[in-house]
Amino acid sequence: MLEVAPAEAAVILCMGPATELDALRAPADSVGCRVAPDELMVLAPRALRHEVLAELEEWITRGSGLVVDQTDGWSVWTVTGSHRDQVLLRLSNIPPSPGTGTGFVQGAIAHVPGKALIERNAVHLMVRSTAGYHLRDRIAAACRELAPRFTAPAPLRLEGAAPVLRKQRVAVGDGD
Amino acid sequence: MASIEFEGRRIALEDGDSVASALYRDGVRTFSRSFKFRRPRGLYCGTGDCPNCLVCVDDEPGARACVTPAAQGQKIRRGSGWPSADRDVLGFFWYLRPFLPVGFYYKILKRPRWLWPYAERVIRRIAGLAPVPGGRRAAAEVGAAPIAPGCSEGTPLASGDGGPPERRIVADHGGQGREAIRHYPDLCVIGGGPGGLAAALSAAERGESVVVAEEHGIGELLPPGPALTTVMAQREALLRHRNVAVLERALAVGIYDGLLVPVIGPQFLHLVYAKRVVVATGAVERHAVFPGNDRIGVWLGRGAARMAGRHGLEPGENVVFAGSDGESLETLEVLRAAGIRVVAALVPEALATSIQGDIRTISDGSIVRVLGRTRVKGAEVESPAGRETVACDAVVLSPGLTARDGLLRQSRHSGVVGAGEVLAPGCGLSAAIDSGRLAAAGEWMEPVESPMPACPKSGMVCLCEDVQASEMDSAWREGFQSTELLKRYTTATMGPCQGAMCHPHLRAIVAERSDSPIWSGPTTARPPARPVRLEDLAAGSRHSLELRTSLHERHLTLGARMEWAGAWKRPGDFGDSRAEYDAVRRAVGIMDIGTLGKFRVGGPDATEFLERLYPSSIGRVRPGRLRYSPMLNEAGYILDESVICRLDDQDYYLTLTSGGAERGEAWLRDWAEAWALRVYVVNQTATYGAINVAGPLARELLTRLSDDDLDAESFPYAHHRHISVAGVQCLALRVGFVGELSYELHHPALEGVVLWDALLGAGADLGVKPHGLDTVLLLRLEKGHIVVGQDTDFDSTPAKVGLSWAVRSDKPAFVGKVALERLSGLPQERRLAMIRFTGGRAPVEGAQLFDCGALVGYLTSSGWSPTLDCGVALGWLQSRGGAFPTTIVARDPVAGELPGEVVSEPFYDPEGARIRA
Repeated sequence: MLEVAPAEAAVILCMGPATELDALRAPADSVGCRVAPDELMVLAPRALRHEVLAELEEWITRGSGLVVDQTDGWSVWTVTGSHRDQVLLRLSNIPPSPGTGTGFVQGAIAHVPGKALIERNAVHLMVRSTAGYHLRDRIAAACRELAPRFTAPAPLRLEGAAPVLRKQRVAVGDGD
Repeated sequence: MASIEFEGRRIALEDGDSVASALYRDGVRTFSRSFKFRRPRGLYCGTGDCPNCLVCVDDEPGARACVTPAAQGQKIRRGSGWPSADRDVLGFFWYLRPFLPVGFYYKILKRPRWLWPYAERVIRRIAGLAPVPGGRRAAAEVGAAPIAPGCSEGTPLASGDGGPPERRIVADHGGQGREAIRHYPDLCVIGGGPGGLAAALSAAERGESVVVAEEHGIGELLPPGPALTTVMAQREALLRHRNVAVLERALAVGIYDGLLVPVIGPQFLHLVYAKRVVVATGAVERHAVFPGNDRIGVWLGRGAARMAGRHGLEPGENVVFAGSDGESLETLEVLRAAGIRVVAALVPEALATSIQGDIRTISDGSIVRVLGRTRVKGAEVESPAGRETVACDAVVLSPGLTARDGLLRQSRHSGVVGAGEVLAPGCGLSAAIDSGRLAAAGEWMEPVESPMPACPKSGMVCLCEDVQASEMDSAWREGFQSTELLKRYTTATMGPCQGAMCHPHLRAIVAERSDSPIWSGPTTARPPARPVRLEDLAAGSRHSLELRTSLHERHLTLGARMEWAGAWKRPGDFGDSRAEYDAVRRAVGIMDIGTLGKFRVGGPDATEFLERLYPSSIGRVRPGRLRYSPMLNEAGYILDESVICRLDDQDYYLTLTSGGAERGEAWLRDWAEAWALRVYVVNQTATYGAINVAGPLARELLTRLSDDDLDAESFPYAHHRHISVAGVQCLALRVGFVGELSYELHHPALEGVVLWDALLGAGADLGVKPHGLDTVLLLRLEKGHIVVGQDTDFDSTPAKVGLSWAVRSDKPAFVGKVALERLSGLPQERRLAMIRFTGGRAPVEGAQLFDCGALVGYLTSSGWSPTLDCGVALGWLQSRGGAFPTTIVARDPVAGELPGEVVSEPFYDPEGARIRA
């Protein structure tokens, strides 16, 4: 069982001094993924895009950092079902997160730069929107014997959205 | 009844048949012709090690018939021999062997030199295992690799995955390429014998995740007996563990750093990233070398026992058996129990009394040679009692074992250990299990060095490459006096078996002749341990990746001819380049330029950062304005070009050329880090789309869709504004790449379609048309604008391409400044020039340029300008005598010589009035 759906997500990038990002609390119903010491990517349902953006802009001291709405730049796909782990295993060299197997990882996915938020019951895969079709096609090809079902776009649903960032779960994987 | 098709005839299958057993039962004895001398070859090892039974299964060459399960409908043919493997007209090569020594092609085909290409073609056609199928086969054929009923690849396993190991029969791929799956187990076990399975079980019982890769079906190659019973029980036990994946018919081809074991299964390439690896690939019965050792009817013991014990097939009616150890007796017993008539058993005297039944025993006997032209007719035997000839039609040899250690020898990594017979050939069942358990715990056990065989004096040493003992000797005398040199010169050990048969003999030959053991050491083992298909190497990667803008589907709807532009797919044209060109010059045209690299640069030191990075003055750009600047590397050469918009004091938006985004991002970030400035770089290439609206009616079109003030005073050239167009918030840039009034509308990518449709709809009566690359390249050429990468070389400085005006040499520092200062003191020898051709046509791009007959340059861009009614071009010119030519002649391959004139101003609108309109 494998279901794949385009996720309607807001993607906000916060860039600032590491100390400032360390202290940052992601807005409610969003999740923050530390992609670099001075970069934090916040994911939220797209309906919250402007709220989250405004809240983060307020937090990042004007002049010390930069908050950029990257929503249009990312193609986010939510994979669910009992075979969801297979997608990353087939499309990427990123090793699974140690411990619980959940967390945020980044590296090459389907040979393009990508990121993955791995939750208990879903995997959210992200690539640049210029290669979004490619990710969809590769999932369909690499998992064809699992008969993936592609469904209509749906709002990003985060299981563990919490105001506290999950920076302790960040793992960086090597690419293809 | 299930059947296979063999060279046009149907052959019925029995349960558990391999391709070899089915063919053998049907009377097939010649399975292949040898590589060089076209010797007929029959079944020999029976364990998938030797090259004798390589056949084509469903047109795929290189399948080892003895270990390939037969499956309904397979089409089998022998790949070598013409008109057939039974009767090969080239079989006379054997009689030409004095003229075909090792390396003969280096020796006798050296002169005349012109002969070699022809000889090479003939040799290539004759040699080889079988022709590779022509064209691109449907992957479904590849996916139809033989799978025995009940045998399967296991479900991939992730570390910590608690799910049950689902098992499935492998399915076809339906015409698409092979895919790759990664596994991250604690332990990878290569080999599904008793030692390997013991290691896997031991680790699994400790709660570790395990992947087992077995080249064949587990237990499939074992004759009936305790070993078979044990491994089947181990297999069942393993399958009960939730954290074990068993990959059967899965070939481990190497062990790489990071402990990556690529395993080729019937359906997938499994990339196993393991913390530890246990190599338990077992042992192979040693190849025996004596005159006639490659005759049909000479068998190795394990293969003969398997054929008799599992498939009920006789290796021959009268068999001479030659054994050396306890395992030989087991083999002999299997043959005897299967009802095979053994006419003589040659064994060491110590074992003679252990032989049961009425078999004639020849103590301490050995086979001197085998009689018969192509098939065994008898064996000449030597013993203390003398020499005699024994009539027989098969010779079964069990001369001892050699470790199948190719993988173990190629791994010099910590975390890789051996287990079972690969360490101690013939160690026995319980010892193999014990060593497997120790190996699972990571314990390194030193391999037991097998006794080296006697140096072969005569006979076929390398079955794969047809190398005889006499040829090895002559190669030695020619000076190739180490195992590595002999290997390279004779190609022994380099064939499909990768030395499984001949490697010990290669060492024995050197050991006997050399004073030092250094020269007789094992040769280097490298991946792949077995031949692999190119398709397997490309698993998971056999697809092309094209970047698409958000308007891609719209372009297709409008009938665009898409073409590659770097990594992007972009419209070349929309069906009528001329009409598209005219629209821009006379009305208005729109183009998707979302491929431009787009970046946001901000932070307290953003201005300082850009000031250091670009040769233009950035600090003087006021918010709301923009500036063009080349981007230089440290050598002062043009790397890319940018339009830099100052959004506010600390915030910039800049563009790079299409295709320059990835490199540009790395460049920007590297310098930001190197200078330790408080600056943030965000790649927004995918976030923003961009549409260029250009033409004398561009403002008119935008005014219909926007309430913002767009007149020349409110929004002049070289400025940018945030405006709303058709409800889409855009950052509009007034730039002029095509030489007309232009607005680049940078917009949120997801709203691109809305904006595009609105522009086309609102401008229908204005004659708006979308245009592609063909049009824009001509438009910019009329304006004399360069395309970085097309018109620039790796060493193009701003001065050489006429961009000196964009360099502020009075700035204290910028990347490339020191180099430019040094270069400015040198005479300029090359420059990019604008050249007009009035001869009725424009030369092709790349045409050479001549001045008074001397080659002085070449064209980088060229086209015919409908507006100017002349050819317009950019080209590199070499100075002659300190001056650049002002007139040249271009040599066009079709039009011939076309005179051209070097001009100093843009061809079109040299004052720039139109772009400033």
